[in-house]
Amino acid sequence: MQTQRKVFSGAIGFLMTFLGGSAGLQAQGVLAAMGSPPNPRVEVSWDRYYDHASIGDIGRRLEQAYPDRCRLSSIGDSYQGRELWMITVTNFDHGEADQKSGMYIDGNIHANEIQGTEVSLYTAWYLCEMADRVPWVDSLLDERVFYIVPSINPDGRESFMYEGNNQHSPRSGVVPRDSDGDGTVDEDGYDDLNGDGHITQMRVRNPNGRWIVSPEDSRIMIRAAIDQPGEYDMLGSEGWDNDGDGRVNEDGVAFSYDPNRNWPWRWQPRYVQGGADYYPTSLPETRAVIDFIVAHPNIAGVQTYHNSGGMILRGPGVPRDQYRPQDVRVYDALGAVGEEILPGYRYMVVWSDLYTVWGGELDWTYGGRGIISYSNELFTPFKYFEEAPEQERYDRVEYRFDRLLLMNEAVVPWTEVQHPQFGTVEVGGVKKQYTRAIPGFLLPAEAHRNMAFTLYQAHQMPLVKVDTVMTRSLGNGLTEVTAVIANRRITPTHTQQDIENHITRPDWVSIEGGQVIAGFVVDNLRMGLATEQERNPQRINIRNIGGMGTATVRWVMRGNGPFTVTVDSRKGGVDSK
Amino acid sequence: MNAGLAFSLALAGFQAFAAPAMAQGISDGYRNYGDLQRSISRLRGDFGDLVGVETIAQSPGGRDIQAIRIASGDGVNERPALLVVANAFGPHLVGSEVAINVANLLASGYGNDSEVTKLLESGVVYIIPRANPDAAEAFFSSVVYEQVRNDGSEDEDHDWEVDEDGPEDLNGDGLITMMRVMDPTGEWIADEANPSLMRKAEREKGEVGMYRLLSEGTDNDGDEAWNEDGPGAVDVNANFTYKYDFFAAGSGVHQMSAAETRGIAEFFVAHPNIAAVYVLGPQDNVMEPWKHKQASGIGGNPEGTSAGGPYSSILSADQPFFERMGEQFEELTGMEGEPTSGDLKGDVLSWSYFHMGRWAFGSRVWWVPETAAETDEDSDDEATDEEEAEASHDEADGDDDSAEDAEQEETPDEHDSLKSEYNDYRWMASNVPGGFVEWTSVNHPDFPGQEVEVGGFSPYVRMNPPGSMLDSLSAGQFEFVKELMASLPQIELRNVEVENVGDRTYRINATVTNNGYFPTLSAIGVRAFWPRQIRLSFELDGQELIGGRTQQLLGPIPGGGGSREFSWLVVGRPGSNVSISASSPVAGTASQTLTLR
Repeated sequence: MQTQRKVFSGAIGFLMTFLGGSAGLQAQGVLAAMGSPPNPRVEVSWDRYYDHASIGDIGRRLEQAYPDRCRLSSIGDSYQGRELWMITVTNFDHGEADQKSGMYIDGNIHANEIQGTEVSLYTAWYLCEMADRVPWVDSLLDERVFYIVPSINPDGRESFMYEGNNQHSPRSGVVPRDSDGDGTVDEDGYDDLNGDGHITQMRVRNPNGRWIVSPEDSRIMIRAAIDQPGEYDMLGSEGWDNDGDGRVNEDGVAFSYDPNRNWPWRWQPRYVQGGADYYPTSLPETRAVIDFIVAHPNIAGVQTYHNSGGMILRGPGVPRDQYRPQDVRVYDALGAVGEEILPGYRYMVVWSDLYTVWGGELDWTYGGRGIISYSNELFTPFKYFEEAPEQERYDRVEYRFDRLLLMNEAVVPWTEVQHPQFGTVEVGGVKKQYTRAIPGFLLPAEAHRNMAFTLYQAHQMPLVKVDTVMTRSLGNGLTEVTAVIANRRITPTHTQQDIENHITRPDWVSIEGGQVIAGFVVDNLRMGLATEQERNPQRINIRNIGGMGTATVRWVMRGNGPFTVTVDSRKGGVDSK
Repeated sequence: MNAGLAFSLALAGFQAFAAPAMAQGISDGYRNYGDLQRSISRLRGDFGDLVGVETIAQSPGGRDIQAIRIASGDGVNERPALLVVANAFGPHLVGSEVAINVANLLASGYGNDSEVTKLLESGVVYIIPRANPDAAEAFFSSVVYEQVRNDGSEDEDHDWEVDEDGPEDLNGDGLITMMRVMDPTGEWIADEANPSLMRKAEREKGEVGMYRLLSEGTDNDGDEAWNEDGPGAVDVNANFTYKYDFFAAGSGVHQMSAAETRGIAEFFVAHPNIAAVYVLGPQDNVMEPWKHKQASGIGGNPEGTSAGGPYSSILSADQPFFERMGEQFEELTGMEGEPTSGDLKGDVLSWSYFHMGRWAFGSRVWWVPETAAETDEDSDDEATDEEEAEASHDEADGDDDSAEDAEQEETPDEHDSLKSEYNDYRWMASNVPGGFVEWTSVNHPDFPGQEVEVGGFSPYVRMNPPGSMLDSLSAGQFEFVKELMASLPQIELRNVEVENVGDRTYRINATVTNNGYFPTLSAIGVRAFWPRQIRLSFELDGQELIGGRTQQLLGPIPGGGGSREFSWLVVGRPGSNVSISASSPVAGTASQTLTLR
């Protein structure tokens, strides 16, 4: 009996740790697994997907549990009036939040690419729960602020979760658009013929068809070989011709427009860029994000989570934007660490390694605002068996994984239904939350690894400090004050894109404690070369402080101090000495 | 003191003295915002249901941007429409005046003029008379300066301070012109042929600079630049997407950032029936019609390669229509001369064609007419001189040029770079009193001990005619607007017939014809997708359809009677009906019901 109870509570302890713990269970009942809070104040299970209400609920619970480091707000409303929830995480007791170097994170711009939301939420949760536990997290929250928008397409998310869809739909939000140009809007979308919430494939037996059943897995349809008779016709995705135009599923909300082609950087119309809507910023969700980022020049890092393919993407989206070498060095350095953190992921450039994108989100955040920006394509088939999958004709890796690890849950078996136009057909295939979204037991690991990369980026955002202040008497009651300002991290206070286009104001280094006679930017400290700043010498403008670099300023002051030197960098924070 | 504030105080100070003064010599007959609102209200009051007014945006300065709709009857928003957009470029007041005058002429012509009546019964025109009302208001301010930006603050000179250095009226004439500062380091000289005009010294030809040439004002922020960041935020005519100039002064924090810009874009979204657009502003493609140019290399033009990229020119299939409308414009307005178009950079005109896929035409409306120089020599001699000059230029020989210069020492040559300035100077002299402000000395705090003079062309006068000319200009523009409306596609069903093929089986034939001038879609329209194709519907009443389709979308049908034939085969009861309807927002609607017999 005694033994049995022990075993039982041990099992619970294991389970709770894995799922995120339980407030009722005391810390002495468990042994903390490294990287996870053993006894979190906010219980969240990271093996499932959350809808709009749940996102707000998790944010609210975090805010209540950690009022000094987490705040929930909304940056605007979606087309259908849902809040665009933002969770701000920082140490609110340490410095002004909006003066700290900011990391902006969002997910789910494409409605079907849902797990960006959970990775974002996990990040907020992890930071809140691990502060006071892990000193590295404490200093991160002292020095940085995280602006986390778990879903910037909540309407599309609800549609994906609660309406009949497949793993690719909807990509859009739900703003009504006439996708087929016939003058009526959204009149012929998918039809969930068997009512299971999944839009799978339709097949019908036909001795003259060109498809056969795979000999390895009867759920898989493959093309007959060139010299082999077939057994079936494939009729496309579940649906019928709702508007009598002879076409099936040609105008639903699924692909009306692409929210990630709606951004005002090198936007192009549909004949150049598929998915472009009427004009950049035509969607309320896009505008809300843009207005927030423009109003927060302290943002020095962007991560916008997509799925799938296992990519750490950076711009440019189009070949004509050639990123400057100074910025590429930073991207490459962070990207290389990302590949190490994320086995199976590749660091890639959008246009040259993937495809051309005009008017993408990360293109605007870097091109238009000069911010180092990545987009991770979450999940990759590498994760099924932790190796790059081989192409096979008869079997597919996601089906094998489903058989061996998901016990056949992830695929709808072929079942007969009545089709209003085609008569009896069979429907079957992959469920919508499989192949692109991540299976439950892998989700926490995927969330943690991607978060780790993003935290690494946040750590490497500029961090300016007044390094040293030297004084030297010049006689006549004058003092020369020389201050070395350091950027302790890889990212410069201004990217080259920012410098060339004058996006963010210079770093200001100012002095108090006496009358300023003259002020200089020191070009070469050892040689004593300096350039005077005649206008407003009390506050010296530093155009940029490079990654792991310094800038030196000098004043001639009346009096002999004490002097206080303050650096105020939009993207590198504020520091005084 | 805050520099923007100093500037507005300076303006307020002048307001106390100046009468509703305004752009020197031309302002009578131009409507400020209040007058424009009254004109629009009157239009709506006088013409009842014929005129509708919709507010499509509010400027940062709190001014309404309106669209005036003129058409008679029901369902007017389903008819092919012409949209007229004026004054998106703030200083182009003449466009605004013409637009509102044309609205009046159209409305008052209904019922009196059979052509107008017909146009307003079959089509509809929308007129946005003042797309950037904040900027336009500077024309009426007590210190007149050419404002291109809407109200609000933006950092035009990218020094992270906003509106810190606007202009000041140093000579107290109520106008912001230029100032020239005598300075041996300057790049400018007074032209020999007309010393009122300034040009850059050609140092490589041995000329030595004498002046700095700056905008009239003081360096409020001490950055050694004058008036580089005055009040205002976004140039509405630079905020659209085609060839948007990123980070340029006035282009906005991003593409489509201004409320006015978005209001116009949303008007397009809400009015898929806009078939053609006529833009009054600095961009012209009626005097100099756009031409197709093959782009080389990858991207740029899909007629060149399949690879996509921003289009660098119109599509070849559309070119004849630009040419033809250009000829119509010259004929109907009698305008002469060849104004070079303003740049296509985020403007309304290029956006309307390239990104919204509409037939789009743009007119500068007015420019300073060509005015012959007065000369002592008789005209034959002059012609001979010119021929000789031509000949020596053709030889392109430096020695000949200097010999020629020596010969004509007495009357200096007019300098090529100042051609339009000489012309405009002459025209102002006899048509716009004060159109050119002759240089007069002022004391300038930034240049103690240096000679500083204020002068130059009065603001606005080279883009906007004297108010007395607005009526005749409007009359010409009215003719062209009517021509545009009459040119819109208009579909009709012809040769609709039932053929009894026996056994209760019938073949129905119909031809869809476009009676307008323009094709139902331009080549760019097909690609841009937003102008809709024709939807051809065949409605059954219990019959069985054996051949043909109940719904189909039709690609472009040429104008001038261009046609496509269709047929359907049905089995059904004799005496039963079928209906055919063809409709497109940009090409109209036609339908017919037939009885099987």
